[in-house]
Amino acid sequence: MNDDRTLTCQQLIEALDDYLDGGGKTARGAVEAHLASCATCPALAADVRAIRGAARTLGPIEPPAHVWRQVRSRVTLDAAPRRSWLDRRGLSFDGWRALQPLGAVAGLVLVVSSLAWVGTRLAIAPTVPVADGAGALAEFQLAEAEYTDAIERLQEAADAAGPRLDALTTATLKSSIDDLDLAIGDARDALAQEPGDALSQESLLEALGSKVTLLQDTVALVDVEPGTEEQNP
Amino acid sequence: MGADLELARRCREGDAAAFETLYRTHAGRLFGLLTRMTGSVHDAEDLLQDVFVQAHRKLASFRGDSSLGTWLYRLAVNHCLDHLRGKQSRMARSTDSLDAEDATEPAATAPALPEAIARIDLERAIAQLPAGCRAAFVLHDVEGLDHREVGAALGISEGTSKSQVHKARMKLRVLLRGAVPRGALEAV
Repeated sequence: MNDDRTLTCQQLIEALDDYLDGGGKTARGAVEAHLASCATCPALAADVRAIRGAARTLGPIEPPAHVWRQVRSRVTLDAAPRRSWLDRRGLSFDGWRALQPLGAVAGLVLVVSSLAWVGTRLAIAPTVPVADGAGALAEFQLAEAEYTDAIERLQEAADAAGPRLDALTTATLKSSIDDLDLAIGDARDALAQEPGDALSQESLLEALGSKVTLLQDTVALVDVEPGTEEQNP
Repeated sequence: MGADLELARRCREGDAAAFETLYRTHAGRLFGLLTRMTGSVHDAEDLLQDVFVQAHRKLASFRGDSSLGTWLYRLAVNHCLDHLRGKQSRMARSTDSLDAEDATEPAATAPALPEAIARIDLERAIAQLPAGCRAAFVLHDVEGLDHREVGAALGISEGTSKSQVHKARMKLRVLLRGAVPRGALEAV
């Protein structure tokens, strides 16, 4: 394989990059002498030359259009004094602006429902006297059950709405739901160890509440996603 | 340079059209860099967003010592390297597993690569490189940094940069020839 006395094929391989890139300690003459006499190394040198040459020609790659929309949205939100939970989760895009009236209605419904729920609890409380600790735990369990029930119902609606959302939105929502499920799982694990731990209870309710909000927005989003009417006669 | 300072000033003052101009002018080059450095279009999209959001926040610090393009390029490289460092242990494993003998022994019977390698073939092959040598190769052979600059950017020595670029070239040679089944290469 190697007829050259001064440079072996392995030494040529080691010296080739420096030779082509214009540096290194190995004399250029030794490299050239080996290339002139070896049956196989010239092919290697030609390939590396071709790779180097092709690499230099690689130019810009235009990013997809949605990247600019997301940049613009994030920059706009950056300048805003307060950002919503969805924005902080990176779920912001132009469509959410159209959701603001829906959000207001949904918020109102939530407030009314909450007041009704609290009213029910207040009405029940005097007739079912319980110790403070046990009462707090019962309240927590009731709230958890309410959230869980709401999530089940909303999840069905969101699953039905899923195919009408574009792939990016679906992936983003799924990622956020997965994060929330992790948080819910962690809080439940902590509560399995210490059922009365107020911090874990609060964490669980917060995560469940966030999931309810996200699912509500997912369902509402289908009504404003562009092009969905055509896809779903 | 005066135009860059003017554009930066307009962006700082909340001129949306100016910021879009900044994006349209530089996004392609940065997206190319990020896509090749990460080997993932998805990661590159996320990183590009982050770079421009960061740029918007940091434009106040732009003094015009370099061009806006260079300033953004540095921001992108640094952000991308932070991202890659987050995967450092995996990166080290994949880099270590790239043995020299898998590609450097010239096969006498294998046909040589064409002088003009198709761009799409090269892009695909770069995406298949292990992260460590891919970053060094992109910065050196695509972006034109010398080994000292690559070493400084990646936090490695000049010698390691040379070694990583060499590994990348040898692996690319195999990938571009299609001499080894894809599955076997990924297992390396």
